[in-house]
Amino acid sequence: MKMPTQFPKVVKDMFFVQMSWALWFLGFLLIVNVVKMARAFFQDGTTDHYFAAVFIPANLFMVVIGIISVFFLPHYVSLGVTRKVYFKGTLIAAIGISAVIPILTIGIYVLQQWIVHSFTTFSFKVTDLNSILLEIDSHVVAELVQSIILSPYVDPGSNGGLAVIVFGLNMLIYY
Amino acid sequence: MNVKVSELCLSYGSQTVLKDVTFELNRNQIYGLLGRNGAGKTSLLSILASFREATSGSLTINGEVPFENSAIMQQVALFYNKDYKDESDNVMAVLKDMHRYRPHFDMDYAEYLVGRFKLDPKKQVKQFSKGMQAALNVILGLACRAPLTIFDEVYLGMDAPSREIFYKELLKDQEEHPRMIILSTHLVSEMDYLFDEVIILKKGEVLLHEDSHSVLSRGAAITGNAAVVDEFIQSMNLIHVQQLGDTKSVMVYGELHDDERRAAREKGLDLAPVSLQELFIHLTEETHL
Repeated sequence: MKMPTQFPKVVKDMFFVQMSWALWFLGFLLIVNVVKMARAFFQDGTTDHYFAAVFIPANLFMVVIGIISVFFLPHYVSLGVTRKVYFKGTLIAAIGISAVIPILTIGIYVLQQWIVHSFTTFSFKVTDLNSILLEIDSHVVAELVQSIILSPYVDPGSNGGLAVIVFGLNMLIYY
Repeated sequence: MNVKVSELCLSYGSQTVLKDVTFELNRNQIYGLLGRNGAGKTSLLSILASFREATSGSLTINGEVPFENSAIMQQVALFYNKDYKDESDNVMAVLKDMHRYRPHFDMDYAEYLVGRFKLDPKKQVKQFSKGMQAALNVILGLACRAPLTIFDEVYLGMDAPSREIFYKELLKDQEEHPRMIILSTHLVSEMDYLFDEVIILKKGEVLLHEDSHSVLSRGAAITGNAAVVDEFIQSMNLIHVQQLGDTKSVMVYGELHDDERRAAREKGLDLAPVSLQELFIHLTEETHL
């Protein structure tokens, strides 16, 4: 089916609107992370690095913007955009968002590691969410819920590329 | 632009709102859609604009089904009494958004209208009064120049001078860039001169679909001595009666030939034309039991 000329416009518009929300979201998380770092530094504790800190909130973010994006449909229908074009366009924009957020997060993470390791001897907690699963004994319902909420996590220290891809895919599914 | 509606029915659950509506519009002129509250005007217009689907019957615009048809949906624009209470964009942003998606949108004309209606272009739309938000809708409708533009009581809340500006601009733009316009309204007496053709809906069915001239020429108010009037209107379609003592005034709907008019005058009866509003009120009147 030939995609009409409004399709790229819908993709661009939905992407930029949701990206602007995402930037606010990531910025806020960064501030929280920095504050936690400072507090841990002065109390001799450790805290998650940025990538781990963003992982689960990002899933929640995607769920929320996924719900909100439904309310954009009447606006586009009144502008003459068909529902099919709108849904396809929003899907592409969502894929875009799921790709850009992990990349940005990795970027900030790398920056954060570099700054922290250059100037201080602060060490981040090595988070392994997968290990929490093992601690719980076999209650089927609990495990099911866990498997939905606790997403597969790959520490970027071990394999950066895979971390980004897994994060992105995970977010997209939540959307 | 050709709109063909054939036996269109719409039901909301068990409530039937449109029953076998059939008509065809094929000229670039202004159509007036009249009907009492709940007659089905907004439902019909929503179907034309692909906001919803009919439960049965067919609608084709330019020979194609418009629902989810990208080429047709871009040519049809519906403007209604929209509440912008959550719209945090300003006027220019809203205009730019429409400019992006409506292929025939004229930005210069839109900016001229913003000045004409005296809207502050940088102000957030949700801070406008109801009348000014309606003015914004009117501006969008006029400037989008969609080949089929529908105004569903878009002027609600606008003060009388602004409404006059709307009618003037509408007629002016229609002369320079003719398109098919459907106006749905309750202000019949105010807008009757705008309509080229009139469609009246009554309880979900088409009661009348004629050009304005024909409709008005068929209405007549006959006043005179009660007995004489009664005799004269024996075979006519009576739609309203008023009596004060010995004088009776009746409203009839039907062709009145020249010789009949002469006969009426000879009998001392007074013949007067009937306004569209009067015709509308009495043709759509519910009969009281």
